[in-house]
Amino acid sequence: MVREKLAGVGLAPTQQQETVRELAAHLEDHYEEGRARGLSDSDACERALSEVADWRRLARHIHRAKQQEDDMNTRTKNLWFPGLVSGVATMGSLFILSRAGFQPRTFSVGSFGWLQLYIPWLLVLPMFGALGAYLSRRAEGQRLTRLAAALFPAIVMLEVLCLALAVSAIFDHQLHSPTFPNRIAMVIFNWVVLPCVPLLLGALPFLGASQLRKPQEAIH
Amino acid sequence: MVKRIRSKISRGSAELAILSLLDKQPLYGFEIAKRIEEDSDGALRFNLASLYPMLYELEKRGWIKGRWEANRAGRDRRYYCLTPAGKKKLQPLRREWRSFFRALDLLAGVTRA
Repeated sequence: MVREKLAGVGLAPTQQQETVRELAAHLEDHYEEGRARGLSDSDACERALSEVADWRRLARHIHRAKQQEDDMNTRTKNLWFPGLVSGVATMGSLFILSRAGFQPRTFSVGSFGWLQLYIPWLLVLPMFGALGAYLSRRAEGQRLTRLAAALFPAIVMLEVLCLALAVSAIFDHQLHSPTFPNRIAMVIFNWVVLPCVPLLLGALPFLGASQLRKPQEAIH
Repeated sequence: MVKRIRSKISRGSAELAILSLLDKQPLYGFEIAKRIEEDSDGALRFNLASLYPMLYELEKRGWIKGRWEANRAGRDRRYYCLTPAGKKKLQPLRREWRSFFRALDLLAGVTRA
């Protein structure tokens, strides 16, 4: 009954389950207290239910009490934090590998410039994609949020590259160079599209439907 | 305006009542409501609709923390306890209310009435 009444409260699934479970337990205690006082079954039930005059108002109040800050907390937990972890790990590994002397293999692709394959780095990226998606799933992130958390390093790189390319285009006066668009496309391919593939591969096992914990007791 | 002041007073007093109770021992929602009613000789009464939004609000602020535990009857209940931040908040709250009542007393002779 409580679950039905609070159906539209709009909380995260586990939070909703927990709230329903807690309120149901309160009503149960109230009912049992009424029975212990000698009330009939229906009187005790009615007395317990009189605790809430307006369920919709209660749902609104609970939503306001829990959600205002939670919107940000949830976003932090299921997107920003996993994304940041995945991003730091991705950049950290690139830094460590380059310090260790690993160099990208480069192939000329005509007017597009150079295709750079940083193979050791690309090989470790599935781990970080998996880490981002796993952390997001653990924080009850939706599928799209998990995907965004896993691809976060590539998204950040795209933003950084766009900014760098814009600055370079303006200050180096390369806008009129006929090969400039091709080279931009290649840079984006090397540092955004290519890393996206292993990140996505690593995230795949965590993009399926997540199993929510079942409540430990029946809810009336 | 008067309504807003009254609502703030009632909200503030409810916060103080809950935090003071939880300062003594962890309690779950139903117990909190019962204890407040009993300890105030029925002057303060919380029902489910007024209690839980307040508990969730206090929990969101980090003043109390809920944890599922079995009660004496062996049933799982969400026990709330005061956090260090809540303990820290309780003293200034008590002071505020003490000075509020002192001010009321000076103005309206509440305790002399």
